[in-house]
Amino acid sequence: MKKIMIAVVILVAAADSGYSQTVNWRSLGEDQQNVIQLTVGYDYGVTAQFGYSRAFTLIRPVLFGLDYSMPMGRDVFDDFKIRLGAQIEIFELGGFSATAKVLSNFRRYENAMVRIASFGADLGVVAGYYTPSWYAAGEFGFDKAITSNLKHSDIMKASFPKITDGWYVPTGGNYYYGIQGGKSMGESVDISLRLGATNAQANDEDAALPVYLQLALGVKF
Amino acid sequence: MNKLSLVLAAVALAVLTCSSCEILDPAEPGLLVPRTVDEDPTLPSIYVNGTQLHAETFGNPNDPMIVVIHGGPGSDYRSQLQCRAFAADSFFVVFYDQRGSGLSRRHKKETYTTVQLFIDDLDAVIKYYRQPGQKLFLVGHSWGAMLATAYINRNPAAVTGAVLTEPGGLTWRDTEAYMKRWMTLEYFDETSNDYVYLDQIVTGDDHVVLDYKAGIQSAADFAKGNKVGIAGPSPFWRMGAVCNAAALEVAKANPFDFTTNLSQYTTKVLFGYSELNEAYGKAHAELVSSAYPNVQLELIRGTGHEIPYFGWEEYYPLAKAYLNSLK
Repeated sequence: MKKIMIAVVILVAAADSGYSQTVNWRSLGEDQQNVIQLTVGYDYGVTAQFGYSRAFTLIRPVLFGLDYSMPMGRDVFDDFKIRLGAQIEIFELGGFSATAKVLSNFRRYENAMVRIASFGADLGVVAGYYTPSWYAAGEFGFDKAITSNLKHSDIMKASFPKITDGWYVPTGGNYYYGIQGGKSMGESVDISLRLGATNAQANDEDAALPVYLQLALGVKF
Repeated sequence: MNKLSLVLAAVALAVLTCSSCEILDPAEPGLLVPRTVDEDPTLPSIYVNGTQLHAETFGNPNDPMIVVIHGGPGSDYRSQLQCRAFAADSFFVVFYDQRGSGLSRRHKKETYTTVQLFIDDLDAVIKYYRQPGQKLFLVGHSWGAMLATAYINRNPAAVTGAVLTEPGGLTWRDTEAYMKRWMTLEYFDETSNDYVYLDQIVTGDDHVVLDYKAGIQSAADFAKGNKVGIAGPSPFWRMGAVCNAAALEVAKANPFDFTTNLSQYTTKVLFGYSELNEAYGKAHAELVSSAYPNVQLELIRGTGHEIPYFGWEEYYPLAKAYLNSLK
């Protein structure tokens, strides 16, 4: 219950901000502070993702955001990921631009063996060439599951009665690197593609399918 | 400012909540998976072929010997413990967890260089328990039936009889074809996505974490709609993730053929396949078993791949009759 309360408080705190998976700073009009993005693709599973983001100009352009993604399958709400955070354009010269991403994330996972609630962080950099109608960039980042609460099922406990439920630190982490690009369709719609590979931290075993591929449709208003 | 205050309040609440929690290390032995024989001296074990294996026996050591060989590679013998019943039928029953599996000692991935390692371990287990002139039966399931065949292929004169249930194949080609029929990822399926979604939360390079992760992912084996007809979970001690991955890599790099000398083994072999395993079936059972010159091929009804566990009621009388006929 405490965990749910924490998540709710964090979500409420960020309710007027949002996060977009990909962004073309140059295509955002001065009167277009809001972006809604629908993303589908493969990201540790075939996923659908919904995001909302809102742009501000503080010292540098900043996009605050929130997104929710879930893998396909019979049970719609047993596994999901919520991310919130900001993207900050840290460098801009001519058409070249670099953006830093700082995100916190919450993941839930459940199968017949375990239910996991995991808090983590995602730090990354996106750099490339941006025009008002298209962009192409490379990205690199690290997605860390910092702490996870493991609650095991009766099936797991039947096999190992002494298995210990609780908070484990850390449980995992993956680097990711790839490319992304986008095209504006008129003044309000962007489509973008993001693809790359993942590599587990240190000498950890890599994911079964260590790639990601996401296609996004964004609407600005 | 109002938003900043709320965020700070959330962080403070999270810190307060977690400060009352015990923080655990997933790599610490004994928390997420049981300790192995080299970590827990109370477990029954034997030292053979440069390793320490979790092993136990049932019955009179002077009776004909049965060695029960589990599947995987990387599974363990816990789900086959019903074979203890053969001890009451005047057999000496030996169970062991293979190297790197179950509660046996773990080894680095690089040490798995050839399938021969598993054959040598089996040979060492047999020599450890076997008395001069004692009859020897091999009872193998899945990969265990493949390993039993590999042993027979090398030592046809040493084995009195064999009970084999659903070996994936006796050559790498047949095994690979079988695996492709049931191990494929289906991208819009709950089970497949459960399997891969975990990769973003749990990663590791040590045996504890990898074995634990493999245990979680083993839910796919008995998930609704699985192609091998497994009705539900079966008990296990501890998965051997590194052993499993290494053995697969070794097999891919050095395709095996356990049939090269099987023509020398003219004793009848009991070969069982299950009714509910869609990926196996009669055709594959006939193909695989045809490498043996003398086969009693039996359909085990009402079960999927885990025949010795879920199909015990039908499997046991067939196996008992076969074993007694050669006793």
